[in-house]
Amino acid sequence: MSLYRNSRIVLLVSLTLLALLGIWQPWRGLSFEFRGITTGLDLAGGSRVVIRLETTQAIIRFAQPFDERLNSVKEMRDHLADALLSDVKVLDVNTGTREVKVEIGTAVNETVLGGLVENFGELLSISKGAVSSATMDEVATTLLNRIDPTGLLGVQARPAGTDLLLFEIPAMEPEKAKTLIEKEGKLEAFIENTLVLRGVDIEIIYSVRVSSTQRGYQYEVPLRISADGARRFAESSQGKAGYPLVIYLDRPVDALLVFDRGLLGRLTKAGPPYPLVTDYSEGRRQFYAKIDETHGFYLLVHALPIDPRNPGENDISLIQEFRKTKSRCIVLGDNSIFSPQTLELLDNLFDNRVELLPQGTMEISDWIFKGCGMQSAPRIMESIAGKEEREVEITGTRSTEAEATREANELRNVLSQRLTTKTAIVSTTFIPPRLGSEFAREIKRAAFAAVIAIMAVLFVRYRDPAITLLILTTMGCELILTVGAAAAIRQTMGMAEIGGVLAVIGTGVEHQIIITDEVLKGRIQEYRPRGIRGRIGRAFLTILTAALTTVAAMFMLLFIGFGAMKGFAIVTILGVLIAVLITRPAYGEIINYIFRRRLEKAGSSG
Amino acid sequence: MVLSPLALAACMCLFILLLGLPMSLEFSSGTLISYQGLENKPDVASIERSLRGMLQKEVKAEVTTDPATGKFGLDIQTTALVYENEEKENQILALLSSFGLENPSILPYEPALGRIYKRQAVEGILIASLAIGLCLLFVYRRKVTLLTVPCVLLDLLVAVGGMCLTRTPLSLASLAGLLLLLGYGVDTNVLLATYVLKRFEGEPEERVASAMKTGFTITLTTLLTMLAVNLFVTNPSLDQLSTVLVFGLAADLLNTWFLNASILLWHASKKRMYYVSL
Repeated sequence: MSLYRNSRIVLLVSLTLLALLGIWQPWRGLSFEFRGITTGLDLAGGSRVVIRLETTQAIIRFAQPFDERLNSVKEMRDHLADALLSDVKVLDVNTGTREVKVEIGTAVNETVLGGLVENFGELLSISKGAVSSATMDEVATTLLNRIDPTGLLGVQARPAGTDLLLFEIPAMEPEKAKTLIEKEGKLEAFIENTLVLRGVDIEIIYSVRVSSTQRGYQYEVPLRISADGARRFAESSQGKAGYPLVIYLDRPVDALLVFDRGLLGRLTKAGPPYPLVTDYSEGRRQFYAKIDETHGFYLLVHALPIDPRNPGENDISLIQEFRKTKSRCIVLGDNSIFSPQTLELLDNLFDNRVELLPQGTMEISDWIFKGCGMQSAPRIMESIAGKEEREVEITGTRSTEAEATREANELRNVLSQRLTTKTAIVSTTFIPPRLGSEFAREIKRAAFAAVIAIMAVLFVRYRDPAITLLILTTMGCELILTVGAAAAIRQTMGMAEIGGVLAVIGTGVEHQIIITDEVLKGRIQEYRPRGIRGRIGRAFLTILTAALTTVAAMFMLLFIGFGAMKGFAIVTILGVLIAVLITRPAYGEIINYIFRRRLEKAGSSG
Repeated sequence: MVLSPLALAACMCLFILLLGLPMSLEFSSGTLISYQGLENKPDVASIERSLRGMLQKEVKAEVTTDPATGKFGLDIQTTALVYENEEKENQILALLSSFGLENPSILPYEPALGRIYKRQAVEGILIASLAIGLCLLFVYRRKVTLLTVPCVLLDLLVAVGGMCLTRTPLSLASLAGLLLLLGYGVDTNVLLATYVLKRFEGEPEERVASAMKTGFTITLTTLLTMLAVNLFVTNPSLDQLSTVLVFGLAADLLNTWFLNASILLWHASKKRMYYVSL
């Protein structure tokens, strides 16, 4: 049969062409660049983000001896978790001295914590800036899942100092990296001032929906909540039909919101559109928002109006008063509204923990909502008020469909990868590629040297240009197919992955030599029990076993070290599969064809 | 025949114990000295050179940019534990301030493959060896093929010894090299086992000789390629990867064709006697 009609060869050629098109992507420009490949940090640069884990570790000595099942410890842990709205881990229990070491996933001061534990015992010591290795690993894993859910991007995470984590993210803009890392994913839902739902109540997060509305594109993230959560919802929503269920994400309870006093005059008093911030309560120091003409809610974040250019003494003393309970400050506005002196003053008061939130293109209400972490405020329908409703939706509206979809997916991602510890971004920088054009030149030089070396060995061994050329061509196809497959699954190509490609090519040449030797032996030796095809079949036993063992060895790499070697393993497994399923069978056919032709020629001439 | 690979392995063991395996930035603890808000782009090459001269340790400096302000920054990573010695720290900071760099933040950092992951890596290698062994048992149904696993581990040992000798640090690149070696080592041993255990034409010695011809071509192709890469490329990552493979593949020639082949031949001759007695 003609080579051109052989299905294995047709498959190899067509897939190679397809892979080449995938890597080249000529529809995006005709210059020869590898557009389909996402390159790693070494080759394309990326972001380096340092975050601080804001935990508090404390040692408490219990007044009473522990009971056998340590119920009092568990009770204290739950009490702290409820009061501080944070995760609390028990690190160590010493029954002899009745001391318990706990780690709280947020910054707490001594007075507050001392008060909270006084029913259980005495607060012996409190330390900030120390993070247990379990928490460090947990946060690193959660954030890695957020930034790189498939593990194909090749993100590296490493602990730095006692409470810092350093992330290196290839081919991602620092801003995007920041939004993915920054959010804690702490969900809270209130009816009036009662907390009815928390992140831990979420059982399932369904797929997001985006639909077009009059105000733009509305997204919905549907959730299923636990039976406990549903019961609390039923109790709190009894007789509250028409009231809002206010959902917050990462409500900045530890922050004071500072805004320009002039903003109060710009608040619209009535809608639609709703929800709308209509008022500010001087007594509560909170904004008030309405969801329709009759119902509204207070935004549960303390906010303070000041003179942005020259804050008065009264302003300063109020801020100082708040500083006792708040550890940071969010400023609604930027340095065009607030004078440098004001910002410096705030910086000094809050130990440089001041975050600016410019209005940008947002409506005033949306801006304030964002500052308070308010996500959505759906109206409680008559039909569900007082009932154990388990399906809840978080909604939001954005001006474009793409923006709404992106935000909804981000929200879903953040909610499903909730952090147990509060984090703060220390720095975000862009790292330019380490290996620039010099590296590209070196790779070319290395590839050239390698091809020459392989060609020399093959020629010395077989003294047959046709075989040498055939092996090299097949090797080229295998390279293109492997890189194409890696590009298709969006695997970032960094140093480790290049190593994987080298492995694939190396084993590729190996297997072709095994097949060739097997066929040649049949030709040279007189004893020939099977035909060429049979010999190729026998070579495949060796090849399949070798491939199987390589895949087995690579498989474990998928799970090591924050996925540091995942890329290498994926590329190698892909390459070995391609080799066994596509290139080897085709090579077998071609070599079979060449030798059969030669035998026929020798036969006819002899 | 059997002794030479074992003697080589013993030598390499000695080198590893005496010299120790250097660790790269990715695998060791170290210090990150970070500067922010620089107006001018710092001269990375000369800073790296001066620091390396002073510390005698691995140093990597990178220019960063702050997306918000557009100003430059400089991140210097080194395996030296700068923060542990105040005098040294002051010396380094003085050197860096001569480049116009002031007010750094100094962070100690831990390896990317830290703590629990080191344990995982060891577990991983054990599980991988077990998986390879099971695959071989499944295909050949002979316990003697399990010898492949220690043979391949000997390849790795020699490669690590070579790294100690040439002061090649354990980095992501050299780890990739070690893993590649695992694959190559298994391949040649599988080739040998197939010829000796699964074929029946000719004497076992002839079959080993035939397998050896193919096996040598295979290993030589890769070995020469890696040698070419090692000689022509100055990039540290590729250099580390190829160094590991050059040592490992050379050892693989000995381990597969002298050690494992001798044992398999002995096994095959034992089996043959058994058939004859029947």
